[in-house]
Amino acid sequence: MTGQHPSGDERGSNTQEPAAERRTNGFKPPRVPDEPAPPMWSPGEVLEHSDTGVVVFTPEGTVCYLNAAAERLLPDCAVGTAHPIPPATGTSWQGELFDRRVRGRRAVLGNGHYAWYIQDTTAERRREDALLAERRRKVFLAEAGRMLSATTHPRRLTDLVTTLPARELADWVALSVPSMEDGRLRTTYAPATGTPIARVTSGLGSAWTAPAGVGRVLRTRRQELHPLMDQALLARLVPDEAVADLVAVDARCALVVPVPTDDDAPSVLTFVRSATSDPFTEEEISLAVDYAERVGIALRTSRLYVEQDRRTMLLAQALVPGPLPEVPGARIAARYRPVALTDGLGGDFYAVHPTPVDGTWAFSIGDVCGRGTPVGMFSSRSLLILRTAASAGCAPAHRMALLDAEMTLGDPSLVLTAITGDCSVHPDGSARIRLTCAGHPPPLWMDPAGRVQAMEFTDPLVAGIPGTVFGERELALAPGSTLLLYSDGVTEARDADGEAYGVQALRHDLASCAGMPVDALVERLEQRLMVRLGDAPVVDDVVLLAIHIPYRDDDETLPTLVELDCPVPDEHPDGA
Amino acid sequence: MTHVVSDELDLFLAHIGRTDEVGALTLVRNLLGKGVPGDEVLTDLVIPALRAVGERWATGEWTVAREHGASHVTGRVVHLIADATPRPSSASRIVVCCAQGDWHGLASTILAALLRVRGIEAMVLPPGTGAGELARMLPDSEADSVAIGCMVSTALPGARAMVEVARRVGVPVLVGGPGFGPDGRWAGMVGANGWARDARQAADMLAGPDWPTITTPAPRLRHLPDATHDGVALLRTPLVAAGMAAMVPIEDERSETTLRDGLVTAVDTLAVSLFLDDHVLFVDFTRWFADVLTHRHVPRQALAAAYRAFAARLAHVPGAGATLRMAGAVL
Repeated sequence: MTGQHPSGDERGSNTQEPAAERRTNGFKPPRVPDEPAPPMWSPGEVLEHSDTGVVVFTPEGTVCYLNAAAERLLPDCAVGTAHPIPPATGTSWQGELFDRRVRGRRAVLGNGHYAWYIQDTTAERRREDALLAERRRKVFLAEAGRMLSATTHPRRLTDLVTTLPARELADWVALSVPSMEDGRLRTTYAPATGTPIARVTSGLGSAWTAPAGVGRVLRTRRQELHPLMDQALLARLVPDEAVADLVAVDARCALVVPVPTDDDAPSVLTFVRSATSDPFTEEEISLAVDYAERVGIALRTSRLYVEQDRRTMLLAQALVPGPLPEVPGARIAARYRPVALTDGLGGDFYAVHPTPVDGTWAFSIGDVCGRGTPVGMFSSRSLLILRTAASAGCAPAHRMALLDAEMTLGDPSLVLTAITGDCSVHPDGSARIRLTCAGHPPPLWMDPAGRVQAMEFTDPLVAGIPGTVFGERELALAPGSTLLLYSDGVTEARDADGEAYGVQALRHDLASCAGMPVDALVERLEQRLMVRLGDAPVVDDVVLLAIHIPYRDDDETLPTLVELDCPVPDEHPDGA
Repeated sequence: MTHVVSDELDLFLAHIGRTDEVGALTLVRNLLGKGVPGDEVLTDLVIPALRAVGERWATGEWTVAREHGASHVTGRVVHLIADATPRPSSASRIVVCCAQGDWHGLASTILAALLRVRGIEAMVLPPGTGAGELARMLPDSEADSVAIGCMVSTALPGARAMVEVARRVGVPVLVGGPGFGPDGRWAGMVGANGWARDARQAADMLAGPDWPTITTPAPRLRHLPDATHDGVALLRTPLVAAGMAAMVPIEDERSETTLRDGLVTAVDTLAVSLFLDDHVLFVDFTRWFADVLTHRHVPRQALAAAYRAFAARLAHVPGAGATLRMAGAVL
């Protein structure tokens, strides 16, 4: 090399002569040095070896020069002919040339000539596409895993499993779950042609021995890829009911993957693609395997959950209070809002039970402190003791004493509060209530004019301490009166600011219910409580039990009361 | 509308207005005995009657106690109709509930009864069921869809929370009720898969080919990156106090309660307005509340002063100032 840099030299010359005049054929020849030296290389040579394809067009659009790289990219392009692919205008262009992806930049040269610099971006774009696809697969797996793990109901879970991969993995997906208990194979598949999700059951025995498809995967626990299927093979891989559907969409390839569930036999996922989709790539096969793994975890969780749920539900059903019976001379209504089962069973109970005395019936409400299965079980046992004692004709205080005696035998950590009472209705329609309150929030009663009064008790709670004596109190209720029993979950419920609802608010709200039917009364009280709490969570069971003594002629309409100016707080509509 | 049914409306209203359960039940039992279909009794008698009850309560003609009594008797009537109406075998199951914060459980019961007639098995959740409880029961229920009713727009954020938990487990949600605005304009903001004008349209949509079996999670709300509406609702107590302080002192204790309750609703409505990104809700509320105040001889300027106090405290909340100014213009 001479040490003369062509471009450095050119800059000096540009100041003397217009650049365009020095250009020939679209490229700039090096400036002839002052001292003539034999040229050792030409710019043409440089262009020939460039990886960037260069095509120079005349103003008319015919090719007047192209380098080797351009020849490779545009094999049908020759000097002296027109080439339609690179556009005559614009400054950049992206497109496909045969199987190559290219990106071009257009530069205007002298005399209306122009050049296209074309780069082959196939490899670059392929890497980009692979990254994007990888990201899509990750997102799909994350999304699928989240949705699968949020569902424990078996039927919805299988629906999800078969519909989730619809766009990402296959055109048709089936989940086959073998059951060793009844020897059946249950297959769920999402529709290929818009029909609803289908479920078919077949014998496991015949599937087990199949040379291909679900049965074989069940035996070998290894995936199967069928890159090209005919109808006969398709019929072996999918349930008979689905064959016509799949033929209609021209099913081409299938992938059968075992779903590991740590069971005697795995479940099996079958993915089918139609002719319009691409065949399964290696990455997609591993995506299907990953998906199957997540499905396996979800199926296993669901199975465990259902089993446990069935047990909890059995227990919970035994604890949920039944409908209240009709009793002579009174109207009773209750609201029970248990805290969700996931937190364990609550210990609240209430019931209305018969007594051997004619015209007298008994009621009980109670709360075993704590949560969980032992508490729930003890709560139902307590109720049973109170009920049995009432049917045997024991007075309220005696019933409570019997319950206390039973407590001494059980778990010493269990403590409960309760109210139990008898209600006898006289021929004149008024009622006499005898009740015992052991540490429970004392009842409120509202007279016919809507005045609310509280009762007071000093008896201890039921803790199984030998020698505890419970007292009894009597209350005469005139027709039109209402007695309200409630759990501490009502008055101790706290709103978002930590402020408790309190007895005062309950009394106030009870007064605002004067004249309502007793069902509407408890409903409204519950509603007032919930509105007051707002978004704050309810952390204890809420029980409201109201006993109303109606007027004698059993006329529930109470027209005078409705018109009566009760101390109703000024109400405001809930919204605009 | 059938004449047989609508003729009974006044008598039915009289019965429920007196909490005359026996009278109302007998009336409806007779109608059913004459061969009137249960869904017709519901749409032509029960729903118009409830609408009338609502109006009488709003105008102050009926007390709260009377309104509750009437709703209670109507509830009994709906159960009677539901029990007396034959149910075709059901192809799909749906969970029907109120938006969290809305207490119109009777609307759910009526919708459920009407859907059952159309062969959709409906399970009603009691009002007050929250998003958390829905999230716990939904994955284990056999429900294919959820229907959420909302009568008051202030419950829309609650509806949104419920839609989110349902769609997160892939269960599509249909919504309806006046709370979603005229023509269901806010149903999309809540993230529902569909909005139905009435029970008939709801049944058609649920049975239709376009109703999804499984849905994707609810789309995010782009205008709420930091849940501003929650921020406003959390400031309720100080905002109401500031608003009360800004207003002229009121002598009458009853009017003061109205004002205080009104300002609480104003803050909630403002929060929902921001949530919906639609100031119309708040402006309409302001117009209505100003009328109520006029009846109570409270000048409108007092409310404008309260709004200015709100605006001063909500300077950091984007959109709140503009909405308050818009409503202030009405005053």
